[in-house]
Amino acid sequence: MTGGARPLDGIRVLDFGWVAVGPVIGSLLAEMGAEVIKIESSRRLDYCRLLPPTPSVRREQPDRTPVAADLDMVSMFHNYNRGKLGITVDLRHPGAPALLRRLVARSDVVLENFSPGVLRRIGLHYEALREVRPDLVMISCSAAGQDGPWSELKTFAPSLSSLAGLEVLIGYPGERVLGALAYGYADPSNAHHGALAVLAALWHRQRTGQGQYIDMSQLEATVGLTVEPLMDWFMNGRVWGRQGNDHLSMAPHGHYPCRGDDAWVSIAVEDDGAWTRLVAALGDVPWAREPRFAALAGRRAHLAELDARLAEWTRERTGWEATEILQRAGVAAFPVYGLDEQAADPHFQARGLMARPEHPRIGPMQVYAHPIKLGATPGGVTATAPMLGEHNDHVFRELLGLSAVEIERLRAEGVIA
Amino acid sequence: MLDGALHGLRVIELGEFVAVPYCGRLLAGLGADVIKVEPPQGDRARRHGPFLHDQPHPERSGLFLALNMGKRGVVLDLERAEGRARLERLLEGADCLVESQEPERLERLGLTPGETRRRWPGLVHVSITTFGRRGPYARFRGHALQASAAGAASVTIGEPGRPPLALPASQPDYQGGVCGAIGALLACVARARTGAGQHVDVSTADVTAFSGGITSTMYTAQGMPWVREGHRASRSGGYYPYTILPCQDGSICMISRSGHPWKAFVEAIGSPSWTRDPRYRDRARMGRECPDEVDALLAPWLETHTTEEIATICRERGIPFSVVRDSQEVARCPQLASRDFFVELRHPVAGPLRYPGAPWKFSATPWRVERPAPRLGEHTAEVFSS
Repeated sequence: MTGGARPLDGIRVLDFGWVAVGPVIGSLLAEMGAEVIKIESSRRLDYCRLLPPTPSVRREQPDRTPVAADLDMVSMFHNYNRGKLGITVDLRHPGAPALLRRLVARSDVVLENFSPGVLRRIGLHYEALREVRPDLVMISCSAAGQDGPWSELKTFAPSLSSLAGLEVLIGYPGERVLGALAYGYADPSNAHHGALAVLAALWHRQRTGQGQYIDMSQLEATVGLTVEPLMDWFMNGRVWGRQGNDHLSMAPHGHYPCRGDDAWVSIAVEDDGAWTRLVAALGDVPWAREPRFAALAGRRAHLAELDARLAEWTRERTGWEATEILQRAGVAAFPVYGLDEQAADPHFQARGLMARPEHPRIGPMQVYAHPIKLGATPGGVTATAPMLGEHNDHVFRELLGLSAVEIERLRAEGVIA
Repeated sequence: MLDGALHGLRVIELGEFVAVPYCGRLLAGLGADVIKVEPPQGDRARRHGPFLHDQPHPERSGLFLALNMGKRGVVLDLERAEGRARLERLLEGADCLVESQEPERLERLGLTPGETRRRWPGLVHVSITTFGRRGPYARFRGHALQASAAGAASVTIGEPGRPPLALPASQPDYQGGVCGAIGALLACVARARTGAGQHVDVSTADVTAFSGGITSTMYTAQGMPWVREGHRASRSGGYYPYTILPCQDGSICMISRSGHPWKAFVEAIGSPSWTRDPRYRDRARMGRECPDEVDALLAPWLETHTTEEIATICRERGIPFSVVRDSQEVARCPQLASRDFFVELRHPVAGPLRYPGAPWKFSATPWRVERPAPRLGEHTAEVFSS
């Protein structure tokens, strides 16, 4: 492999994904070298194309038709779909399945996150597709899996993680559930779990020539992350409520106030040795030398007092002053960052947190790169998300070998739309 | 039993607690032969709990038992030459090393990515650490808490004016684990063509920054701040509701991105007169200007209805609100039961226990769960006798 080669060079992916989980699986595979073809339709747009600032524009249109140029402006859409080719096929048109089956015959992977049955109803389910591509790898990642009483479940990331038993943990101890609603934890987690499954199936295919179908339930993949409360229920019948910043085997463990407006530092002491280093770093603070704080059990038993005392020390320092003192002593600490601090941080910059692919019409777009850094065959964000239907000609003419007349006919009939 | 997808792949796991063990757990479930190397005192998860019957015991930690199913376990004292020599023997025959050692220790053991590349050119070396192996903070200490802080997750969780809250229960470590497994397989796929291994550098702070970051752009594009607003997303994410509200016996996660589910919900609660007030008809305005007022107006109805009643109403009307469930409710979930998600395994010390099962169902290469977590040093003799 020559320099610049990427791990998935030569792999073609048909990406029926929409909204979040499916698209982010596709964007990871694209970043790692796969040719990912996103299938959209102007008759039923990916919801993420319609996020602000687009809707305000949309409302001004008398017939509420989206303005094509504005559909390319959504930053989140680029974050979820960069690096893909884009074609437009109306899945509800009776001519669509035949056209798409021809594409599947030339693809290695099909991914989708529709409700179960959507692709089956138009004859694009795995059993049908493997007829045209016997070694196909296909993944479906619906909210709750392809079967079962809740198979039609529809969720957003926080409602999925609510059902999975994760959001119930988030809040101050003894108080109401707050949840992590903005962060949207479950979507990228499920996308990464989905991508791992696709890679494992590709590895198996590479060795054996055998393709297969993967039925992923986002609910199941997310429940699998709640190991501690789940095992406490299974072992001891105990139900976990709000956890604050509590940790079973670390104390102190929390975000402590610092000098400045809404400034905080995270401090975690993983064992008694780290506590000894922390005490030395704090300098002249007699309370820290009291024997009741010397071992984890004592620190956990007097946690409220410990947190209050430590906060007296952090309050006199900025987040970075505290971090530098503690890190020099070998104690885990870091300021609580907002997006601006993160974007300006030399460490995140050096590691390539952001990529800036060029959009043909808009110019450079900033997107978050996938956080998997391979030394010899690194991935790369080579393009923004496609404009709606941008690669119709490329895909239908050059990949499928359709004539201009055929393509025009498919357009006129509304299959390519 | 059929082979797993990764049958024949040998992985050496040299890392404690959650990130590396979760990575190894995923690879083992997919069929890899994962050998877990523990220090004489054992993985720290053995001392973390929760413990069976609340009795601390290295073979009864729920976290350890669940994250280490399907692996073989050996004990090596890497501070001694004999232990290091045995580890090197393992690496000779391995496809992947997955580790999370502190940089100073990696140097002392002669296992920096540069060293492993030179000594075992075909080996895929995966590091999963808080700040990564490269960059100005590569020598910083950190745990999932620091990943949550640096990754701009904590800043979005909690109430304004009160301490930010971290992602719960070491979640950044789980995300580092799955990304490490992705990196391991990508490097193996590349190796099949080049014959060369490589280093994969995963930072849980990076993963946390990416995971929230891709969605944060929805907020920043609207000029909305990426900050904590208690039980709702910042400015309700632009449209009310984007929130968790208490009901009679629990809480409901209420999110409606389009107008129809909200309209259906308003009808379901009997279209009270306030819903006709122009102030409460524009969901964008409600989200940005008066979400507390709307919460209060909804409270009387929510407080007189149970999670089960609300879930039924929402299911019947296609409203995508959901119950905020605890582990007991998750363990009794009919959907998870119908798909046989939970598995039961008997451990020689901890006895029979239920565990979370496979994140996926593969049609040709099943998830493998035939072996409980190894007892400390259980397979040392077996692994080194051959």
